[in-house]
Amino acid sequence: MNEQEREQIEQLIHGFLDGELTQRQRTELKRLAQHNPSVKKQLHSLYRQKELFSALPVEKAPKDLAEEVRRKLERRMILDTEPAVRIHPLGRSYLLYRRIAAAAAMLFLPLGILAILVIQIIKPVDEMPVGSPSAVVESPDLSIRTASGPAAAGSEQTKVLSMGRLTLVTDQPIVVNELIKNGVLSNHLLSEASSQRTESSAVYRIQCRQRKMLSLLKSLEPAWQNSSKQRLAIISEDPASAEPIMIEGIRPEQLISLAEESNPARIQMIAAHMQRLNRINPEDYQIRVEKEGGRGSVLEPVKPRIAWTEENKERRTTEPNNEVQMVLVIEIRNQTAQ
Amino acid sequence: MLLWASFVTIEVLKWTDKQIETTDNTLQESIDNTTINVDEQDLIRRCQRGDQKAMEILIVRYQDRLYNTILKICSNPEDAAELTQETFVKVIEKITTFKGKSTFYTWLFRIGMNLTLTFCKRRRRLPVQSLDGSLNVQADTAASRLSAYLTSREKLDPADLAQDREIRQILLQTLERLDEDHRAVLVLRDIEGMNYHQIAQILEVELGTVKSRISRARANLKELLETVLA
Repeated sequence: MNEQEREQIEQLIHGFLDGELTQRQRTELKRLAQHNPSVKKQLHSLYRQKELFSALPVEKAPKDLAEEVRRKLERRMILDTEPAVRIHPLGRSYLLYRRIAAAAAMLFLPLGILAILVIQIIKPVDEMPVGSPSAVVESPDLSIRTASGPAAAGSEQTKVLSMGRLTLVTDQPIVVNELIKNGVLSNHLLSEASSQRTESSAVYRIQCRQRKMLSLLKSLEPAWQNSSKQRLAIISEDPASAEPIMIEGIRPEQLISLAEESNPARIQMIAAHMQRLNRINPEDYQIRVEKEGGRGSVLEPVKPRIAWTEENKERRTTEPNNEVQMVLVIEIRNQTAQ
Repeated sequence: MLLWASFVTIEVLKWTDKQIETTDNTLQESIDNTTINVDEQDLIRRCQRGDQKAMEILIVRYQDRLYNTILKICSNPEDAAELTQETFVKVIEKITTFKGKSTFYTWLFRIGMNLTLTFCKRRRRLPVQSLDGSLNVQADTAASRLSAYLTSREKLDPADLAQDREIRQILLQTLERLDEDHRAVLVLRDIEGMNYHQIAQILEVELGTVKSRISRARANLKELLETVLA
């Protein structure tokens, strides 16, 4: 029996053990086993070996595994840590890809560095970039002032408007985080969004066109159901006021109304209205009326009419302005970590 | 002429076998693709929307099978628990990218095996691992019982032997001495009971590679067992 035949017989034996042989192959193996005692012996011992390993009892996973996974996910969401064990795709194609990438890097990296050095040397000093657009002023706590100005050197017509900082306090940070991520992905805002993690919160900064911002905000409405507190903070442009405009309990439709505006002064005005409106406690306006029978009843207060929703409705821009870029900072704060 | 006729017949038979195998694989693939039942599809969709309860159900459904497979490959309960957790974390993090091209079970095991094999290969390079390799056979009786079982022609119940702690230890220590790739195919085939097609999908290798690895792994294991039990 030569090496090739031996290998073929082994393939037949293993295929038989695994039930992967065709009828013809099974007949062939039976015939071989009948005429060759060594094949029969090998088939028997491998069958016994397989049987034994298949009979090994199943070990149960630790009981708290699901809980540990949940904890790990939360920790990772908050700290944004790297996994303990990285996945490295194995296999020849990946190895080839890595080799090509390494060769390309070795070739282009020195060229790139050289090119940058040459550009630095030959570029006139007065053409150097003067910094990022100054119109968007970020305060240290990531709140953004409402201001307008050119978004980038190349697109002087584009205005940048800030929507401020939206804080969502939740005991389900993973869910809210996923909603934001899905919103960003479904609105194709991946390149316009950045994120930052702290121990107890995740902060997203999204800068995009007004149309996209409106679409994003509409897709984020479910985040309100999964959060216990919502607040929008906008730095006031009023020189007399040092405090930012804080809209406690801001509702999704209020935020969308703000995003529909393209004038920074109007955003400030509307935000100030919303701040006052949301502070109103309905109980303060309840009027107790004594009825003739002596039994009291409570009348619902008439909600104050807001100027911007009524008389300014006609003046409001109905179509999103493509020349306006909007910036919104969203902070997801973990309630349990507080 | 007769030789020519027999050559043609053999080639035709080989071709027929190949066709049957291809049809079997296609059929298996279509079965695999339809085995995601409605309940599981719903669970996956809920997971993709961030439903924690659905994630928990999926974890509980597969945790024992995955843990058992990983444990048999990496041979350490703490490492196996850690790798199982890590697999589920990865799966949940990437669940939005799952498009259902393979079954969830295959996808889960692919991630699990990738992590486990990488981990085992890295661990093997660590100098702390014993190079002695000698098996700790504690009881001669266990070894002789095992030896008798493997050579005997009598009808014996393998489950009886597998219940014996010392026999189990011999088997697992022998398995541990195989290299990772051989250990993985053997565990997936003989312990987890997967077919060749599923193993090929999970390990991302050709069907032929699976067959040859299984064949070599079993032969190596047989040799190792014979050495231990001699």
